[in-house]
Amino acid sequence: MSEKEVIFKINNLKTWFPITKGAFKKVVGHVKAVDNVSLEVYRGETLGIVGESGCGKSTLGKTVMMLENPTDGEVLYNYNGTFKDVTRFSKDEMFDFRKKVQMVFQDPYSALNPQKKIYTSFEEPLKIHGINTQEEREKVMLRVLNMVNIQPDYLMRYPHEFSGGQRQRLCIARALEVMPDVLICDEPVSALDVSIQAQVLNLMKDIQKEMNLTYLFIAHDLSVVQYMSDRIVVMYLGKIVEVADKYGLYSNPMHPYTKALLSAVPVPDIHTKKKRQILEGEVPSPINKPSGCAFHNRCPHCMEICKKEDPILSDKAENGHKVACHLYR
Amino acid sequence: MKNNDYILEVKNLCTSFVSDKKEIRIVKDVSFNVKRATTLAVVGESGCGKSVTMNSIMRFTGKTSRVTADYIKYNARKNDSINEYRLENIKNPNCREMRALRGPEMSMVFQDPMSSLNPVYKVGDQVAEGLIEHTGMSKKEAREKVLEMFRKLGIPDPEKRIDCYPHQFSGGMKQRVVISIAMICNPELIICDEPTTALDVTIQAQIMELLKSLQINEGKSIILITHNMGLVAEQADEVCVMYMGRVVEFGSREDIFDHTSHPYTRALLKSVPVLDMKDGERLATIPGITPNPAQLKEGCEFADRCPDCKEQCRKGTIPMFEISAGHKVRCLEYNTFPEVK
Repeated sequence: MSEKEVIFKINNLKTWFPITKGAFKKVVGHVKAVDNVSLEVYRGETLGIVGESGCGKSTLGKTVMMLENPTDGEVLYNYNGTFKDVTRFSKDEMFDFRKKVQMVFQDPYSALNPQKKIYTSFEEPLKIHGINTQEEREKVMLRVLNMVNIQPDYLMRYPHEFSGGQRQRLCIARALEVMPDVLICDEPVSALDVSIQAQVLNLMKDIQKEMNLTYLFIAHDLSVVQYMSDRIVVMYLGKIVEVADKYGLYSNPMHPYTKALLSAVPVPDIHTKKKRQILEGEVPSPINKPSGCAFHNRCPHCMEICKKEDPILSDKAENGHKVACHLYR
Repeated sequence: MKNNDYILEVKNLCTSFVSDKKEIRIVKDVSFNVKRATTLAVVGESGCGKSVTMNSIMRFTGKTSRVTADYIKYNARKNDSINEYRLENIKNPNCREMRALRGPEMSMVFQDPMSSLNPVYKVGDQVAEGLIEHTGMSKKEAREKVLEMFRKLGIPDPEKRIDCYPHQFSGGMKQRVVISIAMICNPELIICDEPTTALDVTIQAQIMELLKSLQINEGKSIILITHNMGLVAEQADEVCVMYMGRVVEFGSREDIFDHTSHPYTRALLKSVPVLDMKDGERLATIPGITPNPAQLKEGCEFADRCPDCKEQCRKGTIPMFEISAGHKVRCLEYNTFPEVK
């Protein structure tokens, strides 16, 4: 993996939300949404982040974008070879950073202002980021619309005139206007129908090739993540439990949680009989996590040590396949 | 087959809604039968009318709708004799006869467990309500029954949980409570409208296992509305594929997956990513978008998005053809086969 250039380096990132009580807002505890996450993202790859709801995958995406303030840790971004810590950026540096990293949100119905024409919504980021003449702005707008296969005359319409798939394509187009290097996609297709989902996924793959984009692809649907990603991160209760390239993860899942997650995906094929491994219980509350390994109370292979000691994420197989589990020591 | 073997028989069900003084047909000539103690899966994209079909059978469609049908027969089995109910003749959707059916005979599980429970009542009372209403049981007896149902559906610590409010439950547990509301009066037919769409995959697997065990161990008939072809492959005995208010393909699970015949079903199966896709393989897409039901043209509804569309596809109404026993397809490609009336 040495020849690949690291674009993002996340070190021991923590995003904790305080729980307050009483009239004086005394902090009585924390929701540890992202807890000690370390991660490297390479230029040009798609890094998939999967996990059940409440595992902190969206918070991780937002923290990388600095839409949430991290409690601790650093997010290093590669500026032509030198790494700068995004969490300590001043306002001006942040402004510049936002040109490089853009985000696409889950719900295309609420991501576009219903009272503004698409033209106005599309013009705004260009005005802010210093493209001052109208001709130039229109040139950029036409270019990105062309990329997502939407006719240019649709710019004068309002968001309600578009279908869900078109709106999601518009959101992607708007994010691409400032020529970002990284696109953080927070569940971009989960609000769309299956036939439309395939259109958007294929389009995103094409755009990635064309612009050499890096994707952070956050989703809960494992088959969608596998289709899109080069490497996949599996999260559980704010922690990374397994990192692997997509072949390693799907052919040789190591963490018991990943195994259970994979076996729970229904397969549209009536001839493959697979053994279902059904997890008992539900995800515990992130306020008081179980001691030791957070997964131990649902794990079929739970040992004594799992209840006491939190396993460390470390290399356990080839190609950078990392697992946090006491089973592999 | 005698009517004994079918629990629900629907023939030419049409539902239309009036909006802006126009009548828009949402469900068009839908016919299907549900065999006793099996699962029928109804698949289709959003807006294809699958929920409206089921709501029309349960008479939940509201005042702006008009439901007509040749017949909707519900064959209730009580002590080895068959009681036939003709639901299409019921004028008032809230009359006593309909209300007596909902709950003890047929019941429904809705998509979003968060909004189908009342947040200000304890879950135990919400589950017991139907029981007290239909059987006139005392509150104490009903509570015992609810506890029994909670135990059966795998809600842990039922004695404590019965007095909790919905917000104290997680999504999966709430869905179990909703299923216990549907199950408490021991109905034969359970209609599940996307029961796991709002839930995580691991919880979805738990709920689906639960539904399957209800069908196998207690002989319940289940109609499962979903858009997930994976769930269909795992759960269904028979499959009904709908597009723009019409049944486009109906058949057994084997018919649908091994002898996929309608272009829409084929496209639907190909456009979902599966876990073991090869490198560089691209998803097949269905071009275009689902048309607006108010502006439908003549002919096959799928014609504009169909790869094999021919000229005659755009004329008249496309009939159903039976290409093998029980496997029906609404496509002119199969017009050499006998037509289904």
